[in-house]
Amino acid sequence: MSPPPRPPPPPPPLPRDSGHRLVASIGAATLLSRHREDRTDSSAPPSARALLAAALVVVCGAILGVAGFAFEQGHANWRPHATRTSAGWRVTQPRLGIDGADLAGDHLAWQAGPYTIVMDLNSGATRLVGAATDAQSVWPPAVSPRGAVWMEVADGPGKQTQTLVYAYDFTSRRRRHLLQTSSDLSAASPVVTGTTAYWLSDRDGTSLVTSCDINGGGPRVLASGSDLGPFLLADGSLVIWSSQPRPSAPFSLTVLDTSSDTTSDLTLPGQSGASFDSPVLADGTLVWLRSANQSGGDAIYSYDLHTLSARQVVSGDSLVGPAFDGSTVVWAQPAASGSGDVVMGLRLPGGTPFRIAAVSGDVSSVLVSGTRVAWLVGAGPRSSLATARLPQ
Amino acid sequence: MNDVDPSPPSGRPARGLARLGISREQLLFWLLLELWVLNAADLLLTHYVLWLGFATESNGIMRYFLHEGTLTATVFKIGVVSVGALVLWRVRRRPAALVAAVLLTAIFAAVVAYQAVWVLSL
Repeated sequence: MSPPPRPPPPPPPLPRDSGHRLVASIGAATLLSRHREDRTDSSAPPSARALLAAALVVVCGAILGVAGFAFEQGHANWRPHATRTSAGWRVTQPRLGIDGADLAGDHLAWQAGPYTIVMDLNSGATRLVGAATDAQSVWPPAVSPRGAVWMEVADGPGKQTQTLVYAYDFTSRRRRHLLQTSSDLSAASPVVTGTTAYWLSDRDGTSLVTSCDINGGGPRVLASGSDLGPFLLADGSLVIWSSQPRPSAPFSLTVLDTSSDTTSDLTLPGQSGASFDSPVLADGTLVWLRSANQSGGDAIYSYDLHTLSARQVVSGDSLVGPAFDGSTVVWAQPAASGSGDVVMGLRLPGGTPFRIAAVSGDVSSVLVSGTRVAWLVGAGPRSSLATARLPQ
Repeated sequence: MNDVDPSPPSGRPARGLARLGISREQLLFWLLLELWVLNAADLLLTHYVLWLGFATESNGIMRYFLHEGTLTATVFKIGVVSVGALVLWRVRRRPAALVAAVLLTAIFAAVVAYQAVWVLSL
């Protein structure tokens, strides 16, 4: 039998100030305990609650970011009104209006005030690709199935006027700043074919025809002279520019085949005493509007650069256009009823004119590419763009 | 990293978190980790948007480092936020560290979400 355990000895008597010491020792023990707990917490796996709370902070921040984006987009004045019609799309730009447009493949691009906007005609999605709010002027974009090119004029360093050339690639969705120059660039340029942009510029009395790949690479001067312009056209490997000593003087055309680097002069038949307006080059054929200075009648002509044969496509009064994509010529003419215009088409070679659409307003320009046709109605804030499918 | 300030945790955030059963240090740890990841995402999105040609860096310091080169900008941006996160972790006993981490993480989340939605809207 073992003896029963002794009771623990009674605690020694406390001194008079022992109350404070006890509190202090308990406090120290608590502190040490917390200290140990914290050390334990630091090495312990983070709790799910802490993780959820941290995720909540991220979600709240993300909601703020998305709300800010939505607010900004909702108050952006560049956004067009695009409505789907039975034939295609109708686009308006509230307050800004549409100043100029181009069509190629599945993309329509236009200028609205300081903005350059691209629309995917399959989805109707619009994209702001240029916002030249500080620029003095912006020129309407030129479009190829691969991308869009446009120019802006702005004050550069020292208040010197600078011309900037931009390109937007539809595939990579990338915008490039192709050029910044103090040269005067012609309002008739740039033009783009495939991924190559061309423009006319003037520096110190010398005119230059310059090319540049929209996906990079420096500009390359193709031709220079004292009187190049105002027309510059490009399609595939062919580049055509006009030369005119004076604005009222007869002009000549030069054709450059960039694949062989050969140039040749081009003389259009029946151009004496007539104007040469809105030329279009596509698939080796030049199409233009000829207004006879004396009679006042208009005619659209085509000239095949391969066969060197010309033909009159259509004649009439107050024709608008033409547009040409290599197979179909499109123009607008006053409706027979006297109210509004009619958009017409004709397939080369040898087709007969067919009606595409009747328009209630005055058509100011027409566009065609593949199976699509577009026309710009009116001017200023009430202008509108409409697209349709070409009749088969 | 494991040095501990012997002073007891104090302040309203800590008391509120304690009521929710959330450890302040664990929350700070996750916030700083998120901040680091969001900073890296911000760097990637900024590079992508600059590559797309639709934006310019508005932060003068970052603009300088981006001008110097991608690697320089990456080292600077990741380095600054990493050092900042370490400093916040070092002073994790202070309630201000948690408040700063919450604010910074929320701001970075807002910036990254804005950029991500912008890129998706292209």
